[in-house]
Amino acid sequence: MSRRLPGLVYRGAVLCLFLPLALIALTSLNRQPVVGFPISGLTLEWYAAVLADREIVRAFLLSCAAALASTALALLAGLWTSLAVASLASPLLRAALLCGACLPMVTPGIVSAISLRIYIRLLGIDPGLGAIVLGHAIHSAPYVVIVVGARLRLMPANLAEAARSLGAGDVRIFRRVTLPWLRPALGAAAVLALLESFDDFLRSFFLGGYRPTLPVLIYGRLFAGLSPEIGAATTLVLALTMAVGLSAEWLFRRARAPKDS
Amino acid sequence: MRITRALFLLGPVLWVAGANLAPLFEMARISLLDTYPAAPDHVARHSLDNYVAFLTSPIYRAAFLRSISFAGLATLLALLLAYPLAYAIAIATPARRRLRRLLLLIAPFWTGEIVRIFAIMLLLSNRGAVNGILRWAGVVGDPLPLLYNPFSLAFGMVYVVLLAMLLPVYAALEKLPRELLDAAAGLGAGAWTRFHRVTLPLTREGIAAGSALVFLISLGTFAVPSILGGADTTLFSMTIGSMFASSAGRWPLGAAFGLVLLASGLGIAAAIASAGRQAAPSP
Repeated sequence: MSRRLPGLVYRGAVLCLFLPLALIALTSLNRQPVVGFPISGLTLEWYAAVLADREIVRAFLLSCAAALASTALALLAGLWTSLAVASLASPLLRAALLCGACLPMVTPGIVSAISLRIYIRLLGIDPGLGAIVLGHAIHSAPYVVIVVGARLRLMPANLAEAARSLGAGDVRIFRRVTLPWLRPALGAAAVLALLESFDDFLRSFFLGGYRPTLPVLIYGRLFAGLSPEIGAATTLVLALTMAVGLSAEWLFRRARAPKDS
Repeated sequence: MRITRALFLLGPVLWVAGANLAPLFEMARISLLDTYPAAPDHVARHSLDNYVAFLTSPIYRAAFLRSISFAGLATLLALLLAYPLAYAIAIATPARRRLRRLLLLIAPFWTGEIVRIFAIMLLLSNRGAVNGILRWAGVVGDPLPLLYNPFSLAFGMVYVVLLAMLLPVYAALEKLPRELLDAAAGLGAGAWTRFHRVTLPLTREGIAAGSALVFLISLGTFAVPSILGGADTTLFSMTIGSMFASSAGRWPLGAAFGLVLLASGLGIAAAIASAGRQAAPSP
């Protein structure tokens, strides 16, 4: 096997993965009102149109609200669950709780969406922001359990013991020892949950009410045909998720390194 | 002390039961009803009619089998793409450059499903990049119909699920002890023998884990077949979705189909995962 082959495979793959995304940015600058090629001239007018489009701006704000609220709920549920898992002495109970907590990860998307649609009716919640927040939190909590749980297993046992021998109670140990230790993992999990929620289409589509989130709005407009304005809006979403993702990766690496705090 | 401990455990148990299990149980309950949401004066009847409807309708069965086939195809294609790629980074790249390369590969997957679907439309549509290049080069006169067919559906599915294959396979390859490869080479094993006698058996579990996960994700995609598929590629997820989308929805039927998809998906995924475990020699 040639020595240069792996490098070529890698470079080719990066190109293939980024090229379609680059097409979105490229065509969003095209002057002609029909999306696609050839590029007849460059303009920023579609970006101006996006910012002036009340529907898009409102959908963006709704997506942001859903992302923030569902992330907070997912962090709370995920953190609490990983602490409970770690505290169980029996390996069997630990595995059972962990499996139950990670169930949403292996539920096919459409099944997750419609079962939640049925469930919110049982709970008496109307489709809308509240239902979306609950659905996204349920979907994201397993990621929190996995990321936080991994960091929790790396925590030296003598840290808590030392605090206890100095007279600290459970609550104090949690606040002054465990929580600071978990902070990078919580940060990484939070960014993951924010992205999962902000990008989510399926749950938002079935749990949403009259007002769409941004991915649901874009989905609807894709059916109506490609418009340059949606290209510009998608480019902005792309830039935002990339920025958020980069910060996630940075936090993730700090969370994985055992000695950094 | 005992009470606070019980309360501490109660929270997560309630969350798992109320948030993760209850929706699936409620879905199973609805699947046995004749109508839901029912009119106020209607007395609900329980039956297995919705499951019988699945077994007896050729249309529903065809959509289900198509879903299984496309998910299987997407899993296979994702494995064939992800394995060499993961190998190129995990084995053939110096350790200090590995993380940076992996990060650059992961980055496109931070974007959502819808954004990536849009990107594929720009690539394959009549005025898209591929047709633009072909027409510019004079290869074709009229644009090729690349979109809204089985090809674009499979293409889109792979582009959406690839990362879920790449990460487990990469993790398995990175754990592979290099000394084993060196030892095999020292004993005179060629590149192909090293690969299929050492590398492949030792990464089997990672392959199986990735395949099981990708199969489940592919099975559940809804936006990809709705937008990128054609008239003759209706997948089971779209059939299920349509039972809930309109006001004249048929929730019980959709719930039954959802349960069928969940059970068969988990069954096949478990079979894939256990196939990886059984044959894997302990390193």
